Amino acid sequence: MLENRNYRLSLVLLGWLVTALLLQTTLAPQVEVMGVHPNLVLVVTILAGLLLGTQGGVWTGVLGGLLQDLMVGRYLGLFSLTGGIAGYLAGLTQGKLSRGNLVIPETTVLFISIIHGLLVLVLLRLTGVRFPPGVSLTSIILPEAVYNLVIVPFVYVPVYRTLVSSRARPSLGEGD
Amino acid sequence: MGHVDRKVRVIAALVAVIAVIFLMSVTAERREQVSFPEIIATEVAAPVQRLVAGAADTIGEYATVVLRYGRLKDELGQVRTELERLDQLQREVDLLATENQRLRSLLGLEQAVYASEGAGGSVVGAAEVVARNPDNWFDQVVLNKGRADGISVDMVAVVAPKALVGRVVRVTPSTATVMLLSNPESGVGGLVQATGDAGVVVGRPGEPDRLEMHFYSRTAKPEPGQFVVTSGLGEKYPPGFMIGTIRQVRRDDSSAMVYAEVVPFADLARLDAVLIMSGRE
Repeated sequence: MLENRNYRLSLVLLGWLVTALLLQTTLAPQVEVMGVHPNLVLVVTILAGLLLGTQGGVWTGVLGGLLQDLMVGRYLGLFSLTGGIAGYLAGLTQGKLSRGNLVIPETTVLFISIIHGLLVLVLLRLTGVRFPPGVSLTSIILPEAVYNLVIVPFVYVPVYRTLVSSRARPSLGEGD
Repeated sequence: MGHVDRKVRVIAALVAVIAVIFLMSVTAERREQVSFPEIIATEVAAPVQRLVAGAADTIGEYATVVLRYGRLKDELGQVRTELERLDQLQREVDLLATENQRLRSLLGLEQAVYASEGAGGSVVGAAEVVARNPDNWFDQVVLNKGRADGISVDMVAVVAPKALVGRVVRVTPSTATVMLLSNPESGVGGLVQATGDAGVVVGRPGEPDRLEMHFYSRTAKPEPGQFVVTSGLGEKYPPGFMIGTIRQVRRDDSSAMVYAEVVPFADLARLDAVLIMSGRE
């Protein structure tokens, strides 16, 4: 029974990640503001981390990042690693979620999005790709973080509901 | 015991980070061969992306018409006036083109680097944009045509008339990925048509409507409003493709370098379809 639940949870997460990826690759031109679009995969990862803990966050982040890496086709592993770290960081705040309260997910999404962007910048630099840090911060990292924050209210409830109904341990606040 | 566990986790995490950096370095360069998982991911996603993008476009168009009816009516009037003006301009351009052709024939400059016509070989075909990059870092688009349609790596993507969009960096049997000019990793050899000043045009992170041209010469004298075309000096792009118009010129007093802000001719943020042309032969 427990295994069935975990299997279902994995499928639900995969469904969310694929949906998020499809939406952000196809709707990007329609929803772009100041040249950036929201990173739905990252938002789903952070919400999954908040709800499922560090382990669930890492796996969701790595899987979502891997899908992004395969789509980008260069620097394979970049988004898997940064997604995994983002999921882990989100997982550290597990148990602080409550239905209807958006303060925790909003704050977590804002800060982890910024950390995620900085990690991408650092990893690219380690690989020899020099994006100008100032422009990257003001034109990509901060606008994307704010945009992610703005879309949390629209994503939070459906993700919360589906994950809670499909996870093996329905009560919130348990450790990994 | 817990201490040892933690140590193992830290070591595993470090190994993972190093492995990923190595993998990133290996896959950073242009690759002719695309791995099987990448082919599967792109090929499976492309038809679905095409459907979603098509639906989104249709909904977006209807919403725009409903929400902006009054403004669209005004804009239609402006467009008509503009069309008449462009029609007149086109006649003048045709005259100048004929004159230009005659003079170039006289001078024997058919293969001149500065030529903006005859650029880049033959047309391979038109393709629809089905998806964009999932991130905000690397500006690229996925097309609905690939190797089976004769597209190969390093071919050039343009929108009419020869406004450069970018170049093909990855192909699968039925999709092709184009790195846009606005991608910070994209460097294009550029030339100011009016002055002949050469430089490299690069993208800026998160700014698809703005490119930056770094001039090779410190004595370059570009002016706002002048056109920038591909110079053909790099390895990737043939000469003569239209890149954009200079909006602003900046001189760095400390290094004496000259930079220009270039507005691309192609609307890189809103691409629906592109024309693929063979690149350097």
